[in-house]
Amino acid sequence: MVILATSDNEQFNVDKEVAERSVLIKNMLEGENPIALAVAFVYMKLNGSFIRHEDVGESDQSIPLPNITSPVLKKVLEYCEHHRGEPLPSGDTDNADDVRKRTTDISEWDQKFITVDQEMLFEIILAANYLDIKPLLDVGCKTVANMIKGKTPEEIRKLFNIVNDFTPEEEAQIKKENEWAEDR
Amino acid sequence: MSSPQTRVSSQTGIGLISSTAHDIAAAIAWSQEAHKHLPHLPLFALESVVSYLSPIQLAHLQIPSVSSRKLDILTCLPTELSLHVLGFVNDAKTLSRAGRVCRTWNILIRDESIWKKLCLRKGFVFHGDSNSSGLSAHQRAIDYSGYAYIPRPLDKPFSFRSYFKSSQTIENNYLHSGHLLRTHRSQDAGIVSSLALDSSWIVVGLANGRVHVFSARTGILARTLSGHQAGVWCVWIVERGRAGMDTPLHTETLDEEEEDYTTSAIPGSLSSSLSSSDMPFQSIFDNLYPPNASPDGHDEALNFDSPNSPSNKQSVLSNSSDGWGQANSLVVSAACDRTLRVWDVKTGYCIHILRGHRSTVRCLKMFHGRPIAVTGGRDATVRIWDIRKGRLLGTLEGHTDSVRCLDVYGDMIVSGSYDCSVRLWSAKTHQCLRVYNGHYHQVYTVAFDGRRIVSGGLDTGVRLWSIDSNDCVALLQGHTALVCQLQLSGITNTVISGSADGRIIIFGIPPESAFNHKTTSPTSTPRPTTLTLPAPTFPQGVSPPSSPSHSALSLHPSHRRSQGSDTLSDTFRIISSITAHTSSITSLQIDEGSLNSLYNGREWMKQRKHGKRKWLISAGTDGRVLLWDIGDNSEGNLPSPTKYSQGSIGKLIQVRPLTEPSDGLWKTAIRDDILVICCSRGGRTILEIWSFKDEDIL
Repeated sequence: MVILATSDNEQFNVDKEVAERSVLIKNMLEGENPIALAVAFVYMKLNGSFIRHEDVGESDQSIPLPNITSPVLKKVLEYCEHHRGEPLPSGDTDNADDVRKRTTDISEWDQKFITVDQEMLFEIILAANYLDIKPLLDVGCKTVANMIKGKTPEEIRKLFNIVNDFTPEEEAQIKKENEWAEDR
Repeated sequence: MSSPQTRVSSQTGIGLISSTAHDIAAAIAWSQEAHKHLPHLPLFALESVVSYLSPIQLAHLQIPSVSSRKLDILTCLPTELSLHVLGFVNDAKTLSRAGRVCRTWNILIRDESIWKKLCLRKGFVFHGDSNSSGLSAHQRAIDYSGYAYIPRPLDKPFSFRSYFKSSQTIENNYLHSGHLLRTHRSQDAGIVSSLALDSSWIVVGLANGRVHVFSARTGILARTLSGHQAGVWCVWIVERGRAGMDTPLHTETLDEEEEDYTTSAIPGSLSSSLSSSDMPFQSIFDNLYPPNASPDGHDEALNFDSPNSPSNKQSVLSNSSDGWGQANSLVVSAACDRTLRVWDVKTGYCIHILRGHRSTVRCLKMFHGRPIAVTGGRDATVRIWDIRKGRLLGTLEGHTDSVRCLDVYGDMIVSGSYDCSVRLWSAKTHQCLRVYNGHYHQVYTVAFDGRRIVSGGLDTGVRLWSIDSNDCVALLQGHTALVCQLQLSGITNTVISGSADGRIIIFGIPPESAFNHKTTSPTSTPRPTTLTLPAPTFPQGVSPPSSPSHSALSLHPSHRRSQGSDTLSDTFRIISSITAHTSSITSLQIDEGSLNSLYNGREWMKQRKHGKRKWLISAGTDGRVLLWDIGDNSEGNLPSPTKYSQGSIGKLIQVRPLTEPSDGLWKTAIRDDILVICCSRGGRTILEIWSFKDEDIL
């Protein structure tokens, strides 16, 4: 079990397998975090002895997640729990083939999972990015992309409560600039 | 709007559950005050109060998440995440609209990474071998030569956004309507015998012996090349620059066209009188030749042994080839007066008159990246010329009748003749490598991709040959009249043929790798087996041909055996067969971009899959020019090939006629965003030049 502590001081007991959907936590637990290793090394040097196992954060020590609040972490863990055991995506994701096959399709469960209000969606994207959970980040980003798809500028403004800060002249100019993309 | 980091900290810092005594007192005071006002607040104001609450506060208060709680997610996210979101938007329409929402979004939408992704997705990227001449050093520095449609002129710095826009516009123009740049009408009904097109020039050869050169950008007549004593049968254009690795591309190339219009003030008649005496001007052309042309005759451009030969590239149907590094575009023309002439497009001078053929020169091809022209004539010879030095390199004798058609690849030449045979020659040793016998009538057309040869003619059968064997690999049947147009596309393993009865057929053939074995010739004369395929289906709106559709493929037995259980026959099939025109097909061409890409990797199939349309242009003597979309065969109900894929080549879907019907059609050619149509209307010869380019760039 791994203990995760949120910014609002709630603690979550999570299966290691579930927590390790987050590449950040996985690296921390494996001691691959170079900072953690460096700290351990200095500690060892200072004390002239080997550090105790627990000090690196294997069991009873909790992992602080100062950027994430408990409702958001709860939601993120729900996702991790559902997708436990699935293979983690490989690192290189920006090659041409990936871009081509990239779709805006979201699986049914994910779709249901991500049906949240805009603020929560925003927090989930931030948390997924911080925790380095690429599939969740993509689900969040795709959802936002799908929200704006096919909408007019005015509909988008309404959807996200955005104020049109263009002058009428600018607006006309930009509209003209983008006319080519409208259907003919 | 505050940055996300401060937003997160503020939620935890000054929420209702903050802990300092002062804050608690302030909160209590505030709530008492609010108690008086809140019940009287209009709903929208209450909503706005709620919208200030964080998720924690909401969770604490047990207020369910409501859809009215809005947040400008794109603005609040860190830029890289916003761009990640926009990377999932896969249509330009949504992106452009998003750019009109507000200033912040507009800045986001202008990010190049988004448009680069969109270009990739739409397939507006490829053929690492497009024409790179005419680009400034800056544009080349950002490696942009691999992109499909090159917007011209390039006065703005390259951006993926404008590139996407330009490509999308060209595609839309293909689909809907082009822009008629210019129409030229002749005084008489002169016969157009040949047409060549590159990215800068349109060259038209006439039966009256004249050659007209037009600017591909403006459609204006740039000059008339006069000198041939009799009808011109073939014209060819050699693009300037690009000699493989170390081409000295001059910085002034961009200005070339501009310059032309000043010099073209010389009327056609005057320039023609100048050009008839070519020798005194020889010295002018010394600078045409790159420095690597040493005087001792040892010449890189003529050396076929270099491993990365520039001529290892399939010839294109718009009758043009890559240059070998020369500064200006050149026109080569061949005529009934038995001569071959080499012209400098920029000045209009005739550089060389090449004599040797004893009769009309009937066909002409040039190797990519080499100053080597190959001609075939009614004197039954094939001749090889060095058009730079102006000399005959060799005469290939063997055919016993007029040589009607040619194709070249690497260091090999394929010729088709009225003696019913097809021959394979070495351009290096000038020897005949193979004689292909099988046609029982005159051969009118050949296509060659380095390993496979297809030929067609009066006997209506399309025959497939391999360079490894004299035997006919397969007989592709389906046409009922003279096969006059053939295109062999290597990467999709298809043959596209057009015949005098107006039919276009796309055949699927085995991939090149299936040809890589040496066939052991059977002792007895093998008789090809005939395999009957299901009759082709016809797209709606196209009536089946009146004669019963006889669709069959014949296969050489040795090829069937050599493939074991997985017979080659599985890979032969008719993908599409339609009666496109009511009379003979005079031109058949897949658009240049796709043809180039066929030879530059597997991009083509990916592109088709990812949205980029592939065009086929056909023209017939019925006076129509039609645009076809080569559809996706995944939707087709034909049996899918068992082992080899024809990629995404599928059914032909008629898009639209490209011009008004005419009385007769001489020639058409298309290249990226330029379409040239030579037809006859009301007893006059008409030349129409259409542009599909993005007009804003002009």
